[in-house]
Amino acid sequence: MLFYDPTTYFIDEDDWPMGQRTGGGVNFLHCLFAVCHKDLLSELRKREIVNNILFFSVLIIFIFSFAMGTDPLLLKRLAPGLLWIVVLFSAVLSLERSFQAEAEEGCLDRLVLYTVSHRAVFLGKMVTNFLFIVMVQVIVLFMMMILFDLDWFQNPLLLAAVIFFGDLGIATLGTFYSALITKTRARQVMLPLLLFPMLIPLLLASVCVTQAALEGDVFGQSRPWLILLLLYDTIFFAASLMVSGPLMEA
Amino acid sequence: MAGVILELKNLGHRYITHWALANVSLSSTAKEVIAILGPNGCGKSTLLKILATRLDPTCGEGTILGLDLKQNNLEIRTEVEWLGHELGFYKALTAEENLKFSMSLCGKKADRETISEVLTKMGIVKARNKAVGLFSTGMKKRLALARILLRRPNAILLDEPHANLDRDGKQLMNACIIHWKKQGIPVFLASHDHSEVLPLCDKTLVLNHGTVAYFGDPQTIPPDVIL
Repeated sequence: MLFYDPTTYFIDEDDWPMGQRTGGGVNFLHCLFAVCHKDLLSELRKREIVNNILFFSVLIIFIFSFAMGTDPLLLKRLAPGLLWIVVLFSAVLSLERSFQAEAEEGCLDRLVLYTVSHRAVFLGKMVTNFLFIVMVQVIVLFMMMILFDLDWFQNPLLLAAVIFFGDLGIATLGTFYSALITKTRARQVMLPLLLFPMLIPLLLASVCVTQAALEGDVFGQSRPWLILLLLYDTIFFAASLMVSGPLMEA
Repeated sequence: MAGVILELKNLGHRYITHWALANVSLSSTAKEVIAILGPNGCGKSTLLKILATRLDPTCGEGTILGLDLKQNNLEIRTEVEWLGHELGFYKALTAEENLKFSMSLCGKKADRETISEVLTKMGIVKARNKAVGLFSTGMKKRLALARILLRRPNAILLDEPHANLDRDGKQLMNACIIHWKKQGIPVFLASHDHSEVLPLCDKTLVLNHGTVAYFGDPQTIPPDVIL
């Protein structure tokens, strides 16, 4: 059955509906939220990313919980590394798809042709990726708390800081590389190849800060790592924003 | 430059391996429908992409609506709507959500009533809450026409507008082109099928191997020009 009426255009010539003639200027934040809202709405409908990354993370945590046994010291030592490995691999699954929807059906071309800031579009995508990664991380944290009997809340402020800065770094660089490889053929192979080496300093710092947060960080040993995280995020956030315009035009 | 709708001077574009356009020069002052004709690969789509500022000309210069193709990219993008082969809709979003997203990025407000009116005109109002992924190509094209009507640009570029449309769809496309013509909006439409576009156009540009084979009245195309 057709769910459209092919003949309704035979209306009087004067009866043409139209949009506004005025308009044009689009606020940076408005554009950022529009892109973010569109991406979240698309994901809510398709549930491709959420289903994939949740299934993957839950599976990995279960496998490790069986493999590592019940030694509390061993679990405590390995937990930060395991947490960031799960987050990294889940993030790659999500980041791969970030610009894929834009590449389909010429959506990216159309986005470029809107007179909106390309930085706002890039930032909108980045915020969406950041939200997905944080969501995974929070779920994994709680699962590890139950299965590994860990107390993550010895230093909740430090834990929140490392989650924020660590995930922000992954989202920033991941979105940048995702945009860079949008039009390449082997993007599923290219993304980890490009992203993983660049994320090594961030992951080292994140694991060390998470370890410190798990132990309460009574001696403030996490401070240099936290500064490294902050610098890393600042540099790559600024660099990604600077090149986002030419990157999307290309 | 006042009053000049389109002016091209020795415009050319080179892809990595070959020149798609070379020495294209023309001038048009009236707000009219210009058909760009020629066989496949003659440079029609490349010319439209340059006019839409999606491609930079390799050489030469030009203006559209008095705006320089190299220096006024943002202004041109505000004024000109380009409908290419790919229509740029998000499959997971509904027709209405796609239109709202497009309008929000154009800085225009589109309320439910206006969207409903436009979709009714395009014959797809019953599908307004359906995901665009479920649409046929013809329905997507109707939705793209709705987007143009909502946006109200000052010039329209249509690449193969009749492709993938059934008889009713083609009539609707023609009705839209005639409507824009009456509104005084210049329309540039590229097609390889001259029988569909010649009755609609005021002027014809025929390209052959990237060069201008003819530009002028559609009634007086010389018989030796390959359409």
